[in-house]
Amino acid sequence: MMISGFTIRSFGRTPLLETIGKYYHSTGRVLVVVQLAGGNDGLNTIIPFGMSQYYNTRPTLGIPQNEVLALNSVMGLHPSLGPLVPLLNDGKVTIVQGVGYANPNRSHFRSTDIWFTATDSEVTETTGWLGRDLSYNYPDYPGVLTPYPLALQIGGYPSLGLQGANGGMGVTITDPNQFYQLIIGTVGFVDDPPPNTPAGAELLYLRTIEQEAIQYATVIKNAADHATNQTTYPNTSLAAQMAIVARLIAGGLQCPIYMVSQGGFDTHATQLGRHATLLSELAGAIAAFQTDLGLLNVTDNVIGMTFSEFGRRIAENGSAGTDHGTSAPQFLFGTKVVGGLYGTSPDFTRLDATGDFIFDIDFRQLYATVLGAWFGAPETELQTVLFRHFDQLPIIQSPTHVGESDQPVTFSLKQNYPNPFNPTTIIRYEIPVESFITLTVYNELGQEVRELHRGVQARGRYISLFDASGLASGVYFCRMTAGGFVDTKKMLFVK
Amino acid sequence: MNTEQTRVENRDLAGYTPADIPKVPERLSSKGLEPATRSPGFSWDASGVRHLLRRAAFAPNVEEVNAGVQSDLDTLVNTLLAQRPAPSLLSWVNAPPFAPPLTTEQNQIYSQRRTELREWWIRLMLTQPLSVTEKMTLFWHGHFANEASIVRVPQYLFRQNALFRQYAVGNFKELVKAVAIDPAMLIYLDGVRNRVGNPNENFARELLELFSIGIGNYTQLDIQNAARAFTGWTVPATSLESVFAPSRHDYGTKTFMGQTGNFDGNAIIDIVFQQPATAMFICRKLYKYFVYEVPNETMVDQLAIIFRNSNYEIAPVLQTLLKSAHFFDPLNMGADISGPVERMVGAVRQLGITVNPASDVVSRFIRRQSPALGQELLEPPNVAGWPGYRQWISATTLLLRNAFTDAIVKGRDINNTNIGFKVNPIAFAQLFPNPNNAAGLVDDITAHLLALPVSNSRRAMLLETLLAGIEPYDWNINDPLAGSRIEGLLKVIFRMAEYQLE
Repeated sequence: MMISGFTIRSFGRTPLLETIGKYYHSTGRVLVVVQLAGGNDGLNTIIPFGMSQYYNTRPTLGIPQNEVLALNSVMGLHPSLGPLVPLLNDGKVTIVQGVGYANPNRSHFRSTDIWFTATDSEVTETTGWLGRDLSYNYPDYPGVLTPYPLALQIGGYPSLGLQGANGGMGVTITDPNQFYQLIIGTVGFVDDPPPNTPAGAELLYLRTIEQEAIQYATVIKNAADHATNQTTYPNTSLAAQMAIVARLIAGGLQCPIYMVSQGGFDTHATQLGRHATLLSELAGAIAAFQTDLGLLNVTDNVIGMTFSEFGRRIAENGSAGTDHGTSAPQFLFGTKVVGGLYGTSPDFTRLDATGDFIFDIDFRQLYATVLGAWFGAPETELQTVLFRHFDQLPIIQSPTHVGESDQPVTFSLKQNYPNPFNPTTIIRYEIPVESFITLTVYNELGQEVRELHRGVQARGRYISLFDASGLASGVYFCRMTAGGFVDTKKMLFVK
Repeated sequence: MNTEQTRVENRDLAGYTPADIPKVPERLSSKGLEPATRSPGFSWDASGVRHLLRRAAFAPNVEEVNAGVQSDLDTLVNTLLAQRPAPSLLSWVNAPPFAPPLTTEQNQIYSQRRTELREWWIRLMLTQPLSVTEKMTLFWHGHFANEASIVRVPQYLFRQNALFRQYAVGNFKELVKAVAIDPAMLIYLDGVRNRVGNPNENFARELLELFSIGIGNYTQLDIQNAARAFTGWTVPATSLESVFAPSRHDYGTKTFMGQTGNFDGNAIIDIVFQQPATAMFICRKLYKYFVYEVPNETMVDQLAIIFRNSNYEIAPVLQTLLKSAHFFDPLNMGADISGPVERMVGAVRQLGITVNPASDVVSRFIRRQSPALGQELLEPPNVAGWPGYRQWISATTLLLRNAFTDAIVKGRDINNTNIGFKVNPIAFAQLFPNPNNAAGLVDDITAHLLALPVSNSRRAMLLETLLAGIEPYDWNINDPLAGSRIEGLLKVIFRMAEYQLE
């Protein structure tokens, strides 16, 4: 059944509309969030080797000056972060220093919640920042499921960060093929309405998860089948997770948010070797991911961001380790970041009563930046999602303006994304003045295969979904007409 | 001002993470802790027996349900709470640990023993007579969560497990004191490195935040002083026990929760137990484990009073809770999202699959599935234990649960490999009163397996599944195809989302 060029499919009995939301799917942009669980020791990650206080407070854990990979005359990288150096040289890694929040909480669990929920230290919240932003843009989810998952978490327990107003906005998988294999035989009953009891509330939750599994197993598998990793990743858990992410992005899974994680950063004792291994795994995974994205030709669509619930104490403890601290540096990576060292270096004269750093950049400024500058969320949306205004940081290139109030001034038909595609792809177009629009897909022989739109549309930016299910692989052309304006884009459907 | 040193008011939220708070349904139980037997409308029947056994032990088999109905609530709860004899031990638990550095072969032996320990424990859960013991042992393991990959020495892991079993419904204050000097805990939270002049805050922080009183009831200075009080304990390389080394203990004056003295670890724990918040904290966690994730603070408060009045004995708290009208309120039934190990153990038990205590075929299959389902025993994700509740269920883990139940019905896993055991569908059906009445059999099996009632349309669909094309009057348990038809029914019931609720 076709409604205005949007295919309506039905899985189980959940209503499904091809609700292509706002900027996420129209920009084709992707954010990969890398959680460093346990509290990464920021001071031994980005090292102030030019400051004597560093070596005074870290008598056994201090990394010798001659081993630090210097960024300038004061700051440098832990030697295990070597794989990031070529990326830094190319401007593909940003180090944001001194990220934290006021009145830091040193409990792993509470501070992780604060980072996930994006609240002030004293405020408890039940939804996460990404979940809230997805709810803002897809308010009917999960009652109405989108054609692609809105967020994909690779492994682990469903993250608080992805909790939205109506429950989880993400799907958790460990392996795309296993996921598809498991779905076979799933019944997905939704006929009996859940009772108005606690058990009914839980049943509704379980059924929603089940419907998501049914809905997304095929698109995830198709994407995984459609791309192959082009580089060898290190044999670590994080690298394996990021390899899956690269494959799914390149395979055309139109999912804007991925979450991966690395554990083990709670280095209370014998930290030196453990921390070196952790950083080496982190840097190795990021470097392989960036190489892979480049070879897969999707690198400009993706940025990554690390976070960790806190840094560690400045002073090492008596166990050759460090206890829970406060602010720390975080990484952004990708071809579209403004590379280099951003923010103020550690200031050993500006400490809290426990003797730890006072934060310089609120972690929600990072969130405002990726939502605003990367995904194009306007200020009203940011204030809804983050509860108030946060200044964005100039760490992402050429911010988009999608979603802002400025309107198109010319007709344009954009290249479809993804391309090549299988079996669906998104076509964006812009109209500067109310016009009669046609949007039609032709095959190589010039035969019309699908009319995506015909009718008057107001000034604005539009997106249309082309589903080539049932058509043969090959070249297709999307043609847009509007008054005297005509443009055609070539699209490649590869099964 | 450093707010870490400012006492933050307890926001009634201590003890659960925000992700865990569901949309509270409009109807929550309004019944209290008065005995259910004196509650109007209460009758002792199979659904009550199943509810009690699912929550206090593991999902029961048909014989246990039938015996329970013949008994009464008070007797059954008393049986569940009775002290059980310690189980038979694995052969190596009293062998001295290897002296480091370990050889490759010794590491392999340790790895093998950790596996044996997991399977041994799973067999206890599968085969224990009616008792809350293993359910509470699992509770304490999730509460004092230690990771085997860090502790490593299987003897210490066993001893900690035995400690949890010994104190299953015992004195919580004594248990905390025992855990504070337990070798596995001393290794896991760096107590072995905590010494005078070089305090390590790791155990002190988690003792307060996770093990006893909960976040918001202490300051960073309390943590630092408590850490000093716990100094001095070591675990010598080849010793089975921890040892106190006076030269490593900090004998200086400490100030903790407003009191000042030359405190040792036990004194710190005594002070923690003077705080009313401690009883509230653990009773809230027990409530969530046995009743529902959304704590009823009135019930928690009343349980905490019982707890304090009994000097922190667990048994009286559970005695009251498990016999209460609140516990047996239908509004509290079927609302618990079962954990992976509970679900797997429960499914095997419900089907009456024979578990030979000398054979590890069933326990091995459960042990092997458990990491992917999100609950590898002895390997919680971190010191806070498993997040549980809705976080047990993701798209992947839900499907893996279905794959598990498919496997124990068919005897083959998702790769079609023989798993070495399966349900005997005919013997299972014959446990019910009228196995030759198709509709009656469907109703009986559904009631046995699901904690929620099903609608008439679902019943009709399940009946069609069982009959698989034949007419109801043609249904006969002796038909050559009856077994495979029952298996088909079981798979579908197990795949209903309702099955994950207890």
